[in-house]
Order: sequence, then C-alpha cells, then structure tokens
Amino acid sequence: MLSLKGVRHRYGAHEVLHLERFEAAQGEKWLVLGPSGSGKSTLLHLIAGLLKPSEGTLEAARPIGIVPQKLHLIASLTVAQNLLLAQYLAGTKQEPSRAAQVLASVGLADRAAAKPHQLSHGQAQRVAVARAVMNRPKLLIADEPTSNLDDAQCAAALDLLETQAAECGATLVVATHDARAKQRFAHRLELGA
Amino acid sequence: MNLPQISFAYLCAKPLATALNLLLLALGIATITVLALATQQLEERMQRDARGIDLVAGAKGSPMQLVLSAVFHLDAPTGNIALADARALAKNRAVKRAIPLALGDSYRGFRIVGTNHDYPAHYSARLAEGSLWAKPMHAVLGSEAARATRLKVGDQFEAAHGVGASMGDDHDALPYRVTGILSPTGSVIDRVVLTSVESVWLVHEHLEPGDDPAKVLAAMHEDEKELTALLIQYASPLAAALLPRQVNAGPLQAASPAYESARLFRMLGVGIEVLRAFGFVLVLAAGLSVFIALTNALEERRYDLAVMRMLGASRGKLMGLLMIEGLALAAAGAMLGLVLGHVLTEVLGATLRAQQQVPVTGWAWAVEELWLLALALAVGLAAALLPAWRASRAEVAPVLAEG
Repeated sequence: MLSLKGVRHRYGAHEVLHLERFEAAQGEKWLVLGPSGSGKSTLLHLIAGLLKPSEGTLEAARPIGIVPQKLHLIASLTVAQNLLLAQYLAGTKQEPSRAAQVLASVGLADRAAAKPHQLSHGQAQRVAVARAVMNRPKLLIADEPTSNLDDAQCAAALDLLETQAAECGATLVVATHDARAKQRFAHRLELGA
Repeated sequence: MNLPQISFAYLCAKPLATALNLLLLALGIATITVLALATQQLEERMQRDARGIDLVAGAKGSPMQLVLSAVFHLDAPTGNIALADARALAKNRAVKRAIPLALGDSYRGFRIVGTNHDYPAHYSARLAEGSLWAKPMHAVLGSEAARATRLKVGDQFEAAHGVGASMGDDHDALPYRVTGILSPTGSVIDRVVLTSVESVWLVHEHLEPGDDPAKVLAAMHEDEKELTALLIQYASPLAAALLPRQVNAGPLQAASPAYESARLFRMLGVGIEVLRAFGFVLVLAAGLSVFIALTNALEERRYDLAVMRMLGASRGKLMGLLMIEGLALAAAGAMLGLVLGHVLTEVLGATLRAQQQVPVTGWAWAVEELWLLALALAVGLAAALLPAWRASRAEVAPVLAEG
C-alpha cells in the first residue's frame, strides 16, 4: 500500500528528510509526528508524488487523496464544482451523484451551491476532505488538519478523516505537530527536527 | 467541469476587470469596423454611381466639386454652362453619349435634376409606378426621395431654390406634378427628383399664374438657356487622351469621376488611416490589459494552480486554462466590438440618410471583419501565452507547504 526504503530528500545541500524504512498496510491509520521543519510536509509531498525523492524508493497505491494544510478550495467555484474538479483534473468520469453522496457524508448536503467564502472554517475543512475522497482514494493524506482548532474541533476533524478513510478502505496518513492526536493513532512515525 | 467552465468561473469572479478588458477590446474593434463598413460602402456606392461616366463637363472651378455635384449630388454645382457650348461638346466625335444635367432646385432636401430619359436609362432605373416625364413640370421620384417625401403619383409640389444648405425661397407659382416613381436601384438616382431640363428653366423664369409654359419656353432667348453639366461617355479609348484637354481649352471644365473619386479617397485616406490606427492602438492596449490581468491572476491563483496540480492537472491543462481565458476575452470582445461597430454604422447611416447624404447601413458585412476577428483572437492568444506558460510551470510543493 505504502512503502518507502532509504528515502532521502534534500533542498540543495540541505537534507530535510531521511527515512530508512516506512511501510503502511491497507486500512491502517498512521500519524506522522514531529516539530516544524522535521520534514512532515516533505514526506507527504513525496508520498503524493508532488516531489521526487533525492534518493531511495517509494511505492504508493493510487489514487491518493490529499487534504492540504491551508485547504485551498477554489474560491470562484461552488462547493460541488470543487468536488467535481477533483475528478475532472484526475481524468476520471465526473459523477455529480458521487459529489452529492460525499457532501452528505460530511454533513454538507445543503451547501453544494455555496462558494468557499460562504463557509465556516469547519465547513471548509469538511469540503477539503470531501474533495480528497471524491476519487475513492487508496491513500488519504492530511497535512496538519488540526492546527488552530480547539479540542472539540480537533476531535471532529480527526473523526471525519478516519470515517472517510474507512469508507474508502484507504490508508490514512496524518502529519501533525499536535500532540492531541497522538492517542488516536495506533501507528506513529516520529520525525526529528 | 471542464476548462472553459473553470475559465468562465474565473472571469466571472472578476466582473469589473473582465468588463473593462472587454470594453477596451470592443471599442478598438468597433472603431475599425465602422471605418471598414463606411469606406467599403462609400467606395462601392461611388463606383456604382460613376460607372459608365467617363467625363463630366461643367463650369470652370474645382474639378472635384464638379464631380461631387454632378455625379454624386453631394456638393453645390460649380456654376452653369451655356446650352450652345454644351451642344457643341455633345456633337464632338469623341463623345458617344452626353447626358445633360440642369441643377439648382430641390424638394425637402432632395435635388431636382433636369435631364433627359438617358439619365434613368444609364442607371437601369425601372418605374415602380406611373410613367416618365412627358412634358415640362412633370416629375419622377427616385425610390428614396419618394419614401421620404411620401409623394405619390398625381401629387403636386413646389421646388425650393437651391440645393442642400443653400436652399432659398419656394418656386410656388409653378408646381411640379409627380408622374412616376422609380424602383430602388442602389445608386444615386434613388435620392433625386427627375424632370426635364425645360422644367428647371421654367421655374427660374418667375412665371405669373396663368402664364402658358410652352409660350414662355418658346419666348426664351437661347442665351438664357443654361445647363449645369454634361455626363459624357467616350466614343473610343483614344478620347480619354484628347477630350479632357480639348474641353479644358474652351469655356468648359472637364473632370474625370474616376480620378476625382480616387483623389477624394486619398484625401480622406489620411483621416481614415489615423482613425484606423487609433482602433489598432485600442486593440493592442486591450491585449496589454489582458496580459497584465492574466499575469496578476498568476500571483492571485498560485494556490489554486498548485492545488490543481495536486489534484492531477497536467501542465498542459493549466496552460490551457489561461489560454482559454485570453481567447474567451478576445472572442467576446471581438464579437461585442463587431456588434457595436454595426450598430454605430447604422446610427451613422440613419444620420446621413436624414441629411440626404451618402447612404451607409450597419446591415452589411465587410471581409475585413473576419480579419478583425482573427486579429482579436491572435491578440488574446499572444497576451495569454506567457502567463499560460508560467502557469504550467507553477511550483506545487513549496506553495502547498507555505504556512
């Protein structure tokens, strides 16, 4: 499902990540912990294929759903269009019924026509998760999904990710420096500074 | 979702910038369209009006004024010529046909042209109703003159002295009677009132009520009988080299409609080219504006572009997104400009028609418009090319990693 062996990544001469071995099986939930600058985001971007490792081998099942830290919904599109965009850009068949179903599963069935600026932060985060699972990913990764959230919102965000990953049968990899997430994940990978 | 839909959503998200870019491009295209339509129609009209007329002979003065007044009925005549001189010229062996014109009066802005039946025959004019003039004070109306004056066969009207801006008192002692109305020809004859040369002489004799026109005409001295111009067709190509020189050596002046029309367009050409250049500057300014808007959009959308790459968009799709925006703006601006150009030409035409000037219509097409559309699309494409290429090279991971 996900396998990294001898992966190193450098920006110029500066090495930001060195991971000798990391493997995650289907359906597992992994927490990648570490302070800022420890290489958490770099690891996620390597897994997502947005970066190529400087060294080592990386194998990841596809498709991959990504929930970026800043959510980055397209402001000029509606919520439903943001979801369909994920299918269009991935080159898969667009399914409005799938968008409606996913929106309903994140509790936003009535917000399909809303623009992102009309959503609360919590709603926007749910849309970002919905967008990430539109293509029925085998791997769902989330970058700092609980930053700037209170305890209740933190729990809700992690619940949502776990639920959606489980519905897709996807492996979940969450990168955070938030210690509150620690007790919810059986599998943890700690990166040093 | 597809690229045009996404591009459209981005354009709609910035309505003011989109509208300003459209307006700038539309104004440039409209300016060039009006010029293209007006000059094309003017040239076609002048060629049609002057077809078959090799030379105009009239009173000495400006040759262009002579052609404008005698062929196109746009300017005041240069003066009158003696009937004897006109007859002598008409008998010249180099002249195949000479159509006499006696001008000087008008009715509600439409010129009254004293002539013979060769004049409507020259323009292949057919009667829509009634008959041609058979005796003095009979009048036949061109189609446009009939439509505007609402005169019908059998109606009577009084001519006003003078033409255009120099109109004076009515010749109310001797009214004209409408005997016929011509079908539209698309030529100058549509905008005039035709009568015999004798009618024009009579109305200037200041008749008293009860005077017999035939007796008045018979009593007129030959020196009092004048024409304004002769429309001449050469008997042979050689006449073109000889006749103008012969005419100009005598009391008359010769002017070539083809030469004077070309000279007029050369003179107008400077102003037309300045306006056309202004239009092109507007189109280029619009292209620059689109370029600036798309370049600014790159910075505003760096997260969007990164997310799209994250979601699987190829570099080609991101490039296509910006290209479509540039092309959509250009196509919409061009279409708006063409429509605006036709509307403005029609407004201009309506104004000219109201003044009995050269008719111009917005319900016509010029080949140049296709080139304008191509130009606008090329400008839009060129404006979008660099921003689109930069969008395709957008960084993903560093942008998404920004906290």
